[in-house]
Amino acid sequence: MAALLPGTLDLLVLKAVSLGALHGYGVLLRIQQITGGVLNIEQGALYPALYRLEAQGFLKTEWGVSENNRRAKYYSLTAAGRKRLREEEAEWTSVSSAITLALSARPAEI
Amino acid sequence: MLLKGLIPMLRGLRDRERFEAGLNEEIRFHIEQRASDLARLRGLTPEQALHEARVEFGGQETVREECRRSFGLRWFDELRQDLAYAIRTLSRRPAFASVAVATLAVGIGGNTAMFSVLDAVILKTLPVRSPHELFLLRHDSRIGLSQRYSWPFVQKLSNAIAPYGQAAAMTRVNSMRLGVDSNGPRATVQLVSGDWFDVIGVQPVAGRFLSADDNRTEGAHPVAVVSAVFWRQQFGDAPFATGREVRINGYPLQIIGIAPSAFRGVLLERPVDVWAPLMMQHQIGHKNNFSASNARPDQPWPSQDNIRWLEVTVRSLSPPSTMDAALNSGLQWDMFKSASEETRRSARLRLESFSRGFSNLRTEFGQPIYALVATVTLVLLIVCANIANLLLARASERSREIAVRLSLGAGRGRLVRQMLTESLLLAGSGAAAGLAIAYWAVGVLSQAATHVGATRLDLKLDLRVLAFTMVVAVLSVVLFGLLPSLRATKLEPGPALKSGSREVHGSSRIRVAGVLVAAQVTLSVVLVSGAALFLHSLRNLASFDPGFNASNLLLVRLDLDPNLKEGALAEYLHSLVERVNAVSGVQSSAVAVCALVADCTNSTTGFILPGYTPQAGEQITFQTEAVSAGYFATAGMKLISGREFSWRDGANAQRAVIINDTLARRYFGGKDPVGRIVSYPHEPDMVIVGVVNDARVNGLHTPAVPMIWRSAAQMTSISGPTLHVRVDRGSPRMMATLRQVISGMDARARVSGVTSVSEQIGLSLWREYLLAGLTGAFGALALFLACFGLYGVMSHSVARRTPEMGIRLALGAHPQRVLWQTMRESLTLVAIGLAAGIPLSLAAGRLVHDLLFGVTTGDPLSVMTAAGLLLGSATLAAYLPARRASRVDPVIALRYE
Repeated sequence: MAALLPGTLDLLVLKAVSLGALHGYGVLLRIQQITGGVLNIEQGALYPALYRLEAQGFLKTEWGVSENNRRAKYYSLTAAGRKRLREEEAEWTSVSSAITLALSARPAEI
Repeated sequence: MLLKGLIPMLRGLRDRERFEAGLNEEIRFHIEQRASDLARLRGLTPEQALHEARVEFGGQETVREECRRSFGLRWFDELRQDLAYAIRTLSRRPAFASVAVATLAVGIGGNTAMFSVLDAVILKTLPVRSPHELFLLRHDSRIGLSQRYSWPFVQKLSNAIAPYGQAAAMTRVNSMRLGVDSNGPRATVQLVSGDWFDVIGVQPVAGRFLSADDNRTEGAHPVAVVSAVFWRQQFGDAPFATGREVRINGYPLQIIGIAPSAFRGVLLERPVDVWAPLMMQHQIGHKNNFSASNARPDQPWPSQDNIRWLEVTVRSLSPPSTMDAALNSGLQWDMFKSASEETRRSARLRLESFSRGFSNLRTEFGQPIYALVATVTLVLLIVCANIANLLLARASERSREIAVRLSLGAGRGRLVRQMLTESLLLAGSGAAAGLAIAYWAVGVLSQAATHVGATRLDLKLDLRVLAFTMVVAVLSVVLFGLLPSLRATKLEPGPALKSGSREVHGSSRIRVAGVLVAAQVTLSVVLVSGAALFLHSLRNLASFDPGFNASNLLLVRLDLDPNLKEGALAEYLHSLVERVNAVSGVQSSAVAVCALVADCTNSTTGFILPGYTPQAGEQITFQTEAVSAGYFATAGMKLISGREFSWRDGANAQRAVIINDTLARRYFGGKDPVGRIVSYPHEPDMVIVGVVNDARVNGLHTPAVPMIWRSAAQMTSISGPTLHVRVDRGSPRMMATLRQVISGMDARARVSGVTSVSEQIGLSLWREYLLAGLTGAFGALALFLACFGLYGVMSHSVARRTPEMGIRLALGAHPQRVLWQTMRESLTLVAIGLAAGIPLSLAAGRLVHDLLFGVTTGDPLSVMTAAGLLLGSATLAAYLPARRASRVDPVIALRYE
């Protein structure tokens, strides 16, 4: 499993939550699922990220009942969070395509 | 972003327990879910799975702390920790904490109280629309003419400046009889022109205000506007209705409107009850504060151009230069019809800011208030220096603890913050106690303001004042807390730990402490010498010979029947005086229109002195007064030449006047003026029958001006005169007796008040008492704190050097020598402080020179007294630790090491 690039955890959390309200453990599973299990997220690092995003107003929380009938805290996106996700997506796309382009360069093309 | 984050954070603060519980539950849920997944996927037993899940998750407390920090709660947690720590450390040092809080309370409380005075008297603007557009009309002319104007002139002015602004006229505020009974309640009345409210910029809360149509014809507008407070006093909660009336000096006026409760007129310390059109001047008997030349003051004033009785306020809507041009485009020549051509040409009109209205307090107490603000600021600085010193001493005692914490990895910023929290706690407690002191002081000062002619002064601890207190508290933390905390944490942990329990960088600490002590000495010298100056001035005033005899002289203010006129008046006054003289314990008595030292300066311009040639443009102005026979003997003034009035100087005799020495010398050269004539247009000639010594009849502060007394028995009418009674002993019982005798005589005179001249003089010295008292008290505090600081520093230095002293004594040093060496250290600090403080004191003395009486500029005597006092007390404060040093037992001192 690959290590997470710095700064991408927030993006992944926002993306995961944008697909539907999730509790903390659910966010972890959803990220593993949508990244095909390639990225390794430290479990302890997830919660500070969630709390930070909530404090910044991108996530809202609500206590609900989990699949196995237990009380759990569910995270969902706020309007600001949705906007933030779009911005981060656009930024990531431009950065990653630039890097891909850079890596595909051949001596002959210079 | 920041705001959005603030809301969940505040929610977290409010519901801290819920936050923690939620966090715990969330992590527990996570781990259990993970465990059940692990059990399913890897076939582990529940116990193994739970263990595995916990290991995968990592340190839970670290995660929790990270979450708190992410959520913005860490800052708050640390603050709470710091506060708890500060409370713990401070409660271990109750003596230090209480000295710090008590001195801060005095410092901050004094500043808060003085700020509330400064704000109310000097800073606050009138509660009206755009107060900064308001101005007061003033003029400069070659000879000092009173700053009052006639109504015809105001109208001309109004027209001249019409395109650039608006002008309105008003009288000063007078207390008048409400109703018919002269002993009944009184109201404060101000006469204003029709558009005055409009120009000032206030709106009625009920009814309407005066308009130009309410001020057209003399005597034809019996209407009035009243204040909200007055309406409530008179009619309770009744809503406004037309048809109510108010009687002023017996004359009925119909109430047409009520002013808003925030607006009590433009004279700060005399809230107005009733505003009436100035066309009603004659009807309601407004007779004070005017200057007349060649005029008939007994006739209605508004139409007379030679009676100047109005002050003019202008709302200017144009740049100052435009307005100035409009004012001085020939208009200024119309100001004084009777003045010479040249005088009128030299006159110039100008505008003065009126955004804060009038205030006698501001005029008289503006400078003292600034002086006291400076005093309390100095006191707070001294308090801060003192606490900084105490904190420095504490920090060096804690240096080992601090070194341990630094070496264990505590951040320096964190430690500084912790120490500042402690300072903040001190300042906060000091500010809270200071507010209590300020609340009390403000009550005392409001009360005291009534002694100096303010019927009401609104001193409140409002939001502005509270904000000021907070700023002062935070500033003082910066002043006393920052330096010690920065120094305390600037440590090399290694040497600090190695030196065991003993403090490190002791000598440099003592250097800083020494600077602080010297600074305290400097500031204290300034304060103490200021107090000495004011005390010296007060003593000069209190022992000053005013030119009359103030002791055992009683003043009985009378309300006379207005129908007493001409001959009947003279006869009545004569009988009154004779009956009072018959009272046992009374030596003599006499009637005067104005009471001594009451500062009712009536002056008249336009006298003619045959034989005296006025210079070009000169107008002859005398202070005028009317007194009965026996007045000068009763007052204890001395006749230089001629005679006193007698009861024969009555209606049928030639008009007699008595003048003072200043007048005699200025207008009659060296010759005896007795027998010479003084005349005044349209009046019979007056002959000078006597010359009396110059006396400060207007109060101790006011030197005598040329003054002329007329015989009261030759006046056509007198309202509200004062009976001056010389008695054997001016006791309260005597006052009661006089009141009783006069009230029992007949209904034509009523006593409206009894006081004594010495009491009045005491009140007129209130400003001096206040300044001397407050600066004296603060000076004493400063002196105490400076000595306390010096004592603390020297004790510390001696304690630190006990082993050294012990060795020196053991080696045979003479105790006297050790004593002297230690003393020398302290005295050097004091000398440095004095060297800086003495020139500063001399400079400060020059700043307050206008407030001093009979004290030479910078008064070296007061400054030297202060310096001597400081040196004496500081020597004592330094002597005690030095003596301890010289008596160190070498054996104990060395064992200590």
